[in-house]
Amino acid sequence: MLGEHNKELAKFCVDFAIKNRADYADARIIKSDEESYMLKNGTPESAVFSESIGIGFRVLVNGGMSFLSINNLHKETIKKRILESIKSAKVAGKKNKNKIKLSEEKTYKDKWKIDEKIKLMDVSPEEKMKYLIDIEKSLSHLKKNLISRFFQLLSGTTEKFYVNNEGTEISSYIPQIFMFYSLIAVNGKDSEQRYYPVGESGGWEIIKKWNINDKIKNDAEMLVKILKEAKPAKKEMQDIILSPELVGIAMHESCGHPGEADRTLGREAAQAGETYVTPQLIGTRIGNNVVTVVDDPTVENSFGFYKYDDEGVPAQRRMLIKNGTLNGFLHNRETASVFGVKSNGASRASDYNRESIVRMSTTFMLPGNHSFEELLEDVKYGIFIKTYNEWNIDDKRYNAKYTGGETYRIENGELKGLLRAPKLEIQTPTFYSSIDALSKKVEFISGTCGKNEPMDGVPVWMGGPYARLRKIPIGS
Amino acid sequence: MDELAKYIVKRAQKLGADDVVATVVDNTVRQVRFANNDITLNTTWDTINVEVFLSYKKRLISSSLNNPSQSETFSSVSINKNITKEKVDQFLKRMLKMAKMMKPKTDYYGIADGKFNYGRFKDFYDKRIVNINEKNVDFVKDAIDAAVSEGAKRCAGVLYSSVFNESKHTSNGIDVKEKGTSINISLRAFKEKDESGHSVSVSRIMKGFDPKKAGSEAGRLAADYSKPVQGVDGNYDVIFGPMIMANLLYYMSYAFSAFEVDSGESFLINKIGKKVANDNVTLYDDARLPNGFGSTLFDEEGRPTSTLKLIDKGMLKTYLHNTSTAKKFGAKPTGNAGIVYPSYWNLVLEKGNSNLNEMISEVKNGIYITNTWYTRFRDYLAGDFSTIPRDAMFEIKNGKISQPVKGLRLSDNMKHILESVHMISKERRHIDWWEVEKPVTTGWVLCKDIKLTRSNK
Repeated sequence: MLGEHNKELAKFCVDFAIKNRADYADARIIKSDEESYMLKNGTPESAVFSESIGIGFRVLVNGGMSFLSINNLHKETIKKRILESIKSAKVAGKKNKNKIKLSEEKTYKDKWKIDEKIKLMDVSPEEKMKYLIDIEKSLSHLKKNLISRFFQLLSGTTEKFYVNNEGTEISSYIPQIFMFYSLIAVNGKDSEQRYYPVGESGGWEIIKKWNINDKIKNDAEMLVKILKEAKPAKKEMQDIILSPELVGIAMHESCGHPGEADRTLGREAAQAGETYVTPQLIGTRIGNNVVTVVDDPTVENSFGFYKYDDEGVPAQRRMLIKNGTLNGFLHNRETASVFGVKSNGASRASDYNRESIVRMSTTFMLPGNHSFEELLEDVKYGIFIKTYNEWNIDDKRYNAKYTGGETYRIENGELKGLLRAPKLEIQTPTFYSSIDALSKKVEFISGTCGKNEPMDGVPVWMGGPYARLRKIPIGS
Repeated sequence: MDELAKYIVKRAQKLGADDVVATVVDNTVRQVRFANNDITLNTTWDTINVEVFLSYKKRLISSSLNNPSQSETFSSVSINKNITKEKVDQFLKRMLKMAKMMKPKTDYYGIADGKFNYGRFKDFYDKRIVNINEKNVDFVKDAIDAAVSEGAKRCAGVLYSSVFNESKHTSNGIDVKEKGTSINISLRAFKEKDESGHSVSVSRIMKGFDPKKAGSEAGRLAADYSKPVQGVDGNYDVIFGPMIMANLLYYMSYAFSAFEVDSGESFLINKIGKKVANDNVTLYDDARLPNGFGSTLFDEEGRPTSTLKLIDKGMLKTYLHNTSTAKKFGAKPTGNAGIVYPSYWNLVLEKGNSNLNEMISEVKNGIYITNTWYTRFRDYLAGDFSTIPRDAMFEIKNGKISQPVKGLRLSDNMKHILESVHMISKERRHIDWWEVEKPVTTGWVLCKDIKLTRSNK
């Protein structure tokens, strides 16, 4: 547990910096406890666990900013490093033409936690391994074709105390559980793969509702079926229906990322890139009226759930696209200050040793009013892409590619045979403008979002309803 | 640190562990991030990491203790001032408790055993880097100025300097130490909309670190990449610059790891002794590369590293092994542990005898790509992948650069990339940046008949 002495140390850092003429200071002291279990083709690999505690400390002086990550918690060492940080910030501030500022925000004192009915760290390694071994057993009938089976289960808890010199103090406790699997099936020299992650915030009770055995078994059987039955996708113009899995990854890549304000300001230009969305484009139509996309850290038990962000700003739903029109950015206090607005609470870091910057949480398209069957029955000739294998997007988030995994031909409103690896290469405005109808139900998938330098993977959800797109060129 | 590593091994053995590897690393990393020609953040990481691997009747646990005590000291074991003896004992007991509840890894065959001569390599430590903090901002300014003088208007990037000390002790009596420094800069320069270039300078010592050159190269690429037009999809002869070639080699390197071969996820399964690349391709993992960003005397088990030929004139020679995978495969250990996942240290593509201008003059209908990102595999076993170029890219017609182009995606296969290598330059670069997370040395490479696709409007 994070003790009072840990919290006092974080407060001390902030006070010490202010006494030494910093304009602003904040500190996050974080204790993490993580375990990971792997099963590769039926054999356990090394289990992993880690314990860590450290302070991420930030200081603003004369428009220059410094960040210190330290796990040597001796006061004298910390004091020395803080003085260095103040000096570095001062040097940067002097050289900078544009001084860094933070938006003015209300202050809060609060404690929050995510319920953990069955404590993750109370579940024995035996039970966690058994979870994976049971999955392996359920695939025994497919071993001839399923040459690669890799399962990993990760669970961890994070205790955090955030404090800044303005008076905000937030304590939190977040348990999270994550699993991913990777399968490769072969048929002669031909092969097909499936990778899928599942993650949620909560205790061990969460895992029981995942019903993962059935899902993996279905995916594995489908790989074998695709290899035996799927026909090559032809290059042609047609209507497509995308599953929530496809809509989810598209929302993350071509709406969430381009909506990050630090990208439009060029702060990530040499790493994760920039965005096609300039501040002047806000208010511009980019898609059909039915398209509304939000990022919302308050979705219950979501993998990226939080009540306050890593600058102590309350979490809130952000509307990125509203009825087809670009509506706004995700902000932290630094970007909000440049835009002359308040932060909307999107500042995140995975641990004490990463700077907190603008990040997504749960990014999803809001639902429509159709059933899946209604979407289907209005397609004369098209395809339904249910899963994907490969994807990427340019660093302005304008040119995306998704290669289908489980994909079906649609003829006269009915699903027909399987198709192989259709390639959807599409520009972002075309994607949103081609959507004409959405299903009622929203589903989420999990992911680890990569950004920042050094790379900082943060847990996220992404999702949406089934979406129908008209007249889309599909490649083979 | 050394005493702490020894204590961990001794204590773990006493608690019942069979194989034990304890690694203690003390490092200080400094970073300057910049964007729009301003410094956006100065960062210092001051970290002590304790990594422990142990086996108990073939049950394996790897752990990191990044949890030093605030007030007590490790004085009873003498050296480390942060980690208590009690904390270490508690940590090891938890490891053993976990191990005893695990299922055995039946194909685990132990860690390195023997008296080794580690030799040495050159240019791995420079004491000038240890206290370089304030100069880092000046290096950034030099790089930005160089880019701007070539025509760039704004620059973004990152500079790192680091120093580390590592101690390793194992239950097989290995007791080794290493120290090192590094300094590197990655700079992306922009002129107008869509006009950008990227370059890096990566070094272990001050000699060889050239921020001005990196800035100048990135700035020149941005300036040359004036008003790009949408490229046309199709099959082309493609010249890969060092940044994108490093990315391709880095992303295909998984296929050399015995872990992936064993998993059934490598496109190099059953290819030892067989042709996997064009005759002009020779590829090394050179852990002894002078001034190599990933150069190291020993691997994670404490086994000495070496210069290892992976592909010799197109033929696959070996996978990357630790002790256990080597025994399982009936091969020799290669000094590439990862105890769980063997991987390379410095991937080096043997130089050719050509240069960029000669390559351009060879190409009738082609594309010169300087950089890329977001490389993803549709099929790891087959090697099918795509990646999306960023920064300067040029169309080549009849032996000359004809125009800057944009909006193309490389959608091909890694086996095909290796087989289609036609020319390799003599000049090479040592690359490591955000999209190439382990160092690669490569030059410019001309490949024949490569598939480029594009997004539909």
